[in-house]
Amino acid sequence: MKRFTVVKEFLNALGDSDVAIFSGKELNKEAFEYDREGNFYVADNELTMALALGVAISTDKKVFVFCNDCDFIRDLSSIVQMSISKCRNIFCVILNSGIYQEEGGQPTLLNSMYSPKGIVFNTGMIVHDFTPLFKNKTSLKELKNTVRGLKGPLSVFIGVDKGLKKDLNDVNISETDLRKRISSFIIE
Amino acid sequence: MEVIKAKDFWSYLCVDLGHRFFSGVPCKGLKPLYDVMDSEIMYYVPAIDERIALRLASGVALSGDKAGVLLHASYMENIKNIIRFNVAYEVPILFIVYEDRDIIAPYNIVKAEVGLDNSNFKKVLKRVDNYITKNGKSRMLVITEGVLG
Repeated sequence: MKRFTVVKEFLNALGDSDVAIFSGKELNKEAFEYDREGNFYVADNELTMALALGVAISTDKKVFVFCNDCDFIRDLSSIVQMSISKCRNIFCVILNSGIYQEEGGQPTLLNSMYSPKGIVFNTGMIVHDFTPLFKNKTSLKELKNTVRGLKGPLSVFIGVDKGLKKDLNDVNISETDLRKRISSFIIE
Repeated sequence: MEVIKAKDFWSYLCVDLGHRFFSGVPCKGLKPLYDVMDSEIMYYVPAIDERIALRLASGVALSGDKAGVLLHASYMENIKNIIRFNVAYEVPILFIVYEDRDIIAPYNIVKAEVGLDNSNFKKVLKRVDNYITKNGKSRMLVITEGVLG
């Protein structure tokens, strides 16, 4: 399934009070097509998982952070920090295409690793693979119930097809307005 | 110069000014602050590195709380790239930075307050707090050798 569709289905499965944080220009654009008050878009894609953990520390709401597999490998220390935090409301969704989708399509190192899920598991974090849930419409129906019953700190791997959705609009909300929006959403 | 009692420093910053969340990586010069941290008045999360500390604090500040980062001046350069987020989204952070004789804090990254001592620290902290709250911009408190006790 294409990343765009995976993001759409995952956002549909989230509860109204859940926070969803995205990073990277193209991923932001895909998520922005299904914008909601609880969405937050970070232009740079460095250490967004640690930022999401900071949000999770200060709220009881569930916080989902979406990242590409290349960002996940680069910021593995954030995964360790998440695991140590024992935050029950932090969830890391890793969209694994095996390539640098936004930077030209070169392969990432994730699929060359012996066991990326094992690495995450050994930090003390729960690991799920949701790829089978996105295989067909019947399994997609289970997604909502599965997502709503999750307890963190948890990493979710989802295999996505190569390729990006084209002709999407940029996030047309200013950074300060996004910050104000997410702050009010978290506090309410 | 009379030293600032670390306990008084935390008490004023956390209780009076409401800065409750801190993250950071321990450094020798800030040891007096670490030694008297009180979980009754503050919440401290040890971070793997300074960049993660800044991101954690930024996440907390996104929720509207006041957050700070403790670090050694030599690591300010490490956070230079990711602090753009805090500027663009107006997410202010209080940096408590230890500057020793050999390594000077990079004053071009965040505006700094220097020359803290026991007679003026409350006034300086109050000014920093006002600046952060009103402008949504970060501020750096520079702690030098012998200031804390």
